[in-house]
Amino acid sequence: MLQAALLLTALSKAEVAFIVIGGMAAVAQGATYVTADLDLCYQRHPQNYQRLSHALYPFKPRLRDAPADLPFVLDAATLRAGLNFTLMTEVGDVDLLGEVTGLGPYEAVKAYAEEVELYEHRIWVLTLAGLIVSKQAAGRAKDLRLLPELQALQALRGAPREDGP
Amino acid sequence: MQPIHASAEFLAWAEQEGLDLSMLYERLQLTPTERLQRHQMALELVEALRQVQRGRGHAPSRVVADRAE
Repeated sequence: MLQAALLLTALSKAEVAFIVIGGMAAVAQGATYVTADLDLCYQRHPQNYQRLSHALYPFKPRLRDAPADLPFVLDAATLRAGLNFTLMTEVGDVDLLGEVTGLGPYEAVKAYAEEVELYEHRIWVLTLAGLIVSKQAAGRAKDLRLLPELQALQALRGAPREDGP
Repeated sequence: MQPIHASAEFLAWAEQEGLDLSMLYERLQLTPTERLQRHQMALELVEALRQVQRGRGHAPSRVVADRAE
């Protein structure tokens, strides 16, 4: 089962450049959604590949929905060669995204993110505006179902909607 | 893109559609860490229910509960 606190703390301690996106970002922003995985957008930079792979190593990451005997090592070379990874770890499923639909790569996503305190660490989390843009762009039924709640949260906060950063 | 609604009108519509605004109000009073802690408790409940379901011989389903709380 997902242990988001362990994952977020490990990534933050390792100074990984990442942004919490998806369902867990929605939760951090106040949504009542329940998600079983942690979606992260990571910076595509050689130093960050090292930090990210080292931070996740203790949790034994492997590819999700892939044959158990398929050789896989999450290291800097793997991260450099790929873009998006759907992983399972000993502390839950983790999706690593080099780009987010509707927003773009890490640098663009960061413009839609804010730093919040989570488990005594300052962690970048996608804003409600960013979540709404990305969910609309993804357009899947499960994304669209969450939209009214995100928009309601934004209205309750009195923030502008869909205007971007 | 969804149309931009006036906040009050949108909230009235959302409530009429069944969105529990009181729960959202309550969540907004919490810190982000407290929100994740609440989520963790909900996830553990979902997992416990799945275990019970498995024990009864039902086929396990992937943890998905859009509104488990």
